Amino acid sequence: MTHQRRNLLLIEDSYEHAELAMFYIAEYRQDIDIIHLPDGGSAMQYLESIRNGERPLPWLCLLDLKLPKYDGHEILSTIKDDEYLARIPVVVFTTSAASKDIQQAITKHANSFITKPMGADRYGMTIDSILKYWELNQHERI
Amino acid sequence: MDRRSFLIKSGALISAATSSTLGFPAIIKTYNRKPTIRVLGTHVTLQETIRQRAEQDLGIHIEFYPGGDAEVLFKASTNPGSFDIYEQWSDSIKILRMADAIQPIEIKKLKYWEEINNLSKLGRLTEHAPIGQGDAPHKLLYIQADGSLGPEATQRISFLPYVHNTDSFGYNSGVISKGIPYETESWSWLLDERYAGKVAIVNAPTIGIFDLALAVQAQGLMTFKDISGMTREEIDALFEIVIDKKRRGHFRGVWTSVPHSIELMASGEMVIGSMFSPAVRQLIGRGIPCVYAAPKEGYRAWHGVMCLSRDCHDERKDAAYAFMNWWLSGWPGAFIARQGYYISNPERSRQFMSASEWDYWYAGKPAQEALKGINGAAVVRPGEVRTGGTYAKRFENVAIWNTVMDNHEYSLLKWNEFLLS
Amino acid sequence: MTQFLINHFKLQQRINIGYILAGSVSVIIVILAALAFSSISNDYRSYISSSQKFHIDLLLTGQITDIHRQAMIYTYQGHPSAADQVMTGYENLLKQLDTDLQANPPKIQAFLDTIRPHLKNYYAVFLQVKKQRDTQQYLIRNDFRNHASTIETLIRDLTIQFSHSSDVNWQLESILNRLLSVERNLYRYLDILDSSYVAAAKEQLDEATAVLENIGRHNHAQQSLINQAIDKLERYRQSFNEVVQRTRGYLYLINVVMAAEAYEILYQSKKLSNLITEEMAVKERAISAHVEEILWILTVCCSVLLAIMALITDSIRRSIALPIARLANTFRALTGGSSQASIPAYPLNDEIGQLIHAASSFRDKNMETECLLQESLRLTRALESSHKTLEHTNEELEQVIHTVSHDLKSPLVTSMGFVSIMRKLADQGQYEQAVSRLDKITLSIGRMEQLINDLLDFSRVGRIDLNHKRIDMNALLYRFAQTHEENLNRIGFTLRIHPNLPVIHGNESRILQLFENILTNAVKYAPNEEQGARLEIGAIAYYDHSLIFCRDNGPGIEPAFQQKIFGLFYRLDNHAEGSGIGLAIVKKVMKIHGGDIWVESEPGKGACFWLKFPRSKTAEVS
Repeated sequence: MTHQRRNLLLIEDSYEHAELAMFYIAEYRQDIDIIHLPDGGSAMQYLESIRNGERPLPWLCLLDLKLPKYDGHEILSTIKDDEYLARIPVVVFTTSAASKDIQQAITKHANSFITKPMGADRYGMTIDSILKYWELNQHERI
Repeated sequence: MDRRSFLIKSGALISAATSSTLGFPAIIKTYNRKPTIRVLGTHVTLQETIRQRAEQDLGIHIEFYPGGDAEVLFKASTNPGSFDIYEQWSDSIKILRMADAIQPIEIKKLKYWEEINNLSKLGRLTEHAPIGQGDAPHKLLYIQADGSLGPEATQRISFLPYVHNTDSFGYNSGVISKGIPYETESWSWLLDERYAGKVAIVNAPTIGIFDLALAVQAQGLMTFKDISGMTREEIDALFEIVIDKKRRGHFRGVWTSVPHSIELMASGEMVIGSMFSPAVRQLIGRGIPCVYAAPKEGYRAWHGVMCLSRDCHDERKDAAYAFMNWWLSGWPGAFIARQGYYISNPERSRQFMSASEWDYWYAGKPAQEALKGINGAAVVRPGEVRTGGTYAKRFENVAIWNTVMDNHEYSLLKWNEFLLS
Repeated sequence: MTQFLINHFKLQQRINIGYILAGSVSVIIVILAALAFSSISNDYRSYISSSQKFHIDLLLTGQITDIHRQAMIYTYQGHPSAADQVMTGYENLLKQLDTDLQANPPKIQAFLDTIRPHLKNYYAVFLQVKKQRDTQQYLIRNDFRNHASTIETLIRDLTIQFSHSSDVNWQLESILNRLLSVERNLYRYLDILDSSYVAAAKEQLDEATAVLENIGRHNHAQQSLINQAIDKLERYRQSFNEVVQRTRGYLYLINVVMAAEAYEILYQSKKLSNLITEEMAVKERAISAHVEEILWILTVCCSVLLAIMALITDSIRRSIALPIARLANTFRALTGGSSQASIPAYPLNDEIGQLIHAASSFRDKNMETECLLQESLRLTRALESSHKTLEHTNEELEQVIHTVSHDLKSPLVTSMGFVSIMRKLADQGQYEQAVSRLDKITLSIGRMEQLINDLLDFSRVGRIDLNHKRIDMNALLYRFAQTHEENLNRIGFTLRIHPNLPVIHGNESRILQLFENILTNAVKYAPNEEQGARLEIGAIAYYDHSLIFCRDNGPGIEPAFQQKIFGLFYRLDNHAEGSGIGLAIVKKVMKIHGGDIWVESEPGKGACFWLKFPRSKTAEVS
């Protein structure tokens, strides 16, 4: 656990889903700043600015696949094909459970692929689990 | 009629002659007050027209016994009793004399003796003219004191000279380009290689031998000491040359009669050869351009003679003299002139000829009109000139007179050799 | 030729024709050759006969020469046998001539005719010669000798009379000597034939006469005896003359007359010989020319015949081989399964005609097979096509399902999430907060409903509206523009329809929906009013397609998204309204019309949608 504030990049076109994510993240972790990017275009711009060093590398990136403009796979590629951006842990967080999507994401070196849960509390728990898991992560400093 | 028209119609005729040797003349005599004379001779002068005219003029009977040269000569020489008058050529005189067949003629009984020109009496018409070789008529004319014949004038003569002419050769000017009389025309043409195979010679050794001799001489192949009296050696040499020529096919052969010579030239088998005047005339008449040459070496001349048979006497002898005188009385001379023959006293005949006839036949001038022959047909075209020129000119160019040589028998043998070589 | 044969003769007949022709040509050639050889052999016989004729001339020449030689022998030596031989020779020759006259052609006959009179004349003259010579001999042996002995007796008598006078006796003796000399001269003359002996003899005779006359003049007593002697001497002279003349006569006859006749015969023979030689040469030339000509003709004839035969044979061969070769090709092609194999035209129903017939059946069979094959191929392709379509449809379906599962799950996730939040807020007692979240859920469900509606809409495209008809785009879009005119005017949007739009074949309501969606998009993304938003619809013909373009002056579309915009539920902007189904429907509409759609655009420069319709031919004609 660090006391530093962490940036979490939330690339999610659905405002409702973003609100859900932000609600639970805010509930569970107060030290996480959520950067919500609602479409592929703005995500690409943000990533560009990270790469330029204008913005810091986020702690984690939650990436929806279905996005206006560039979709999640493209963004994943952008991140993972770039040496610097590739260090961002990307958790593909999508409603899709299609094996095609999973296969593609893993191939593109997505760090995780998690389908958005549809249980009453399961959304919050999933977020919590993601966060917990990535808090265990030691390679952020590499 | 042609002179010597049938030199050799020998077979039958001589047969007749021979059979008649025993009983000649085989004519049934008609007993008449008029005397009858028998004339033996050639077709040249023994013409029916002449006989009739003579009978008419003289009031006597005349029987003509015409025949070929050899025939009549043979007959005359072996049987003088078969004729009263013999008419032939001067070259037969020697034979007749040898055969004792004729008697001398008395000049004083000849009416026109003085008119007879010098050709007969002296051997030439004009003073400067050369005398031809051989037996020129005057050499045989006078009976000399020793009984031989000679040129010295005496009162007796062996024959009465009357018809005569010059002979040469004829050629087809369609084949042989025409020569210039007395200049280029030459006896040598007879042996010219160019006419090989187309040369014919008269088949009479006494004549043909001289044609050949003149040709050989003109060619320069040999010369004769006396062409009219060749030695056996000369005869041999001459025949060696001509036989060689003949073997190489130079001669078509010999012709035996005037019609034969005409036929040979007309058919083209002969283009040059011995030729007699009537043949030339007939060929021209047939459209063949036959030229009677005037050879530069001179002519071969002949002279007709009338002889009295040894057995002619009395009344017949008178009639015979009358007939001889009649011959020189003008008309007969004009008559035979129309056949191209000359008479020994031409001036007397002149009055029986038209001016153009005289001009053409004797004067050597162009014919002023078409002249008729003896049978009424035209024989001379207007403007035509007699070859050889005038009477005088022709007789100024006599190379040789027809002669019977001493080697006559030998020449006969050689002639045979020549013919069959 | 070939065609004529094929048209008129059966195979068997053609082969027979070939045999007959070959046989005929052989026979003709043999006949020609036989004719030629018989002609040549005739020529040859004629030539041989000519060469036999040649002997006539040799015979003539030889015989006449022989006859003349015998005649000469007789003349000079008097052998009677020689005269007999002349006669025999003459008769033989004459007989020969008569025989030859009948046996030979007119040309030679003419020659022999010419020769005959000469020969006859020759013999006639010879008879004369014989007569002359006989007479001469008679004269010499009888007359001449008798006269000589009579004169000698007379002279002897006179000698007795003049025995007293030695002078006269001497003279008489000289007469006898002279007579002997005359006789000697005569024989010399006859031997040497020199007339000088005659002259000498005559001179001696003259002298003898002169001597006798002289004696007579002086001795009248013996006058009668002397006259008798003179007369006998004259007779003796006459005999002598006659002997000489007869000798000269026959010499002339044989050497001149007979020789000339003999020469003429020889000349004519030579001419005949030349003629025959020439004739033979002509014949020889003619024969060789003829032989050459015949050979040439034969060669030409044979060549021509053989050429004709070869031609005909070739034609026959071709008429057989060619169709068979063609047929073989045909069969090769047929066995290869070809149905297009050309079958040679062949009018006759002969053996080949039957083959042709078989080939044609074969081809029909092939054609059937090919049809079957093609049918099967077509079916296979159709199967493949439907398989592909099925696959595609499956993929599409999968895509749809994938999309739908994602997009439909999304409101569920939202709803469930907010329910959970509300429950949490409610647990924390923050009810107001919790209730406020209820709208979210409602919204989510509402969106879900829209999604489902849209999905239904989408799935309807191409499924229920299958009736296609001719659509004049001019009229359709005119109506379309009229329909929207009011609304568009209100928002200041310009819709411009170009003229000369194509006529297409399609479902009118779908096409209208298509343009509605495009127009909706254009309006949705149109810039603000100041800029004067617009949409132009026009068309161009492009090969066998009609291209309709819909060009707006909106913000344009980045190339990266130009493909994606036609995806189901794909949106470029999540702020904008709509589920992102519009262009997916457009694309599907195009697809069911057999066309296509794509966009040309650059950001900020508007977008141009290209609709590619297959050109409807029937539509265009009308």
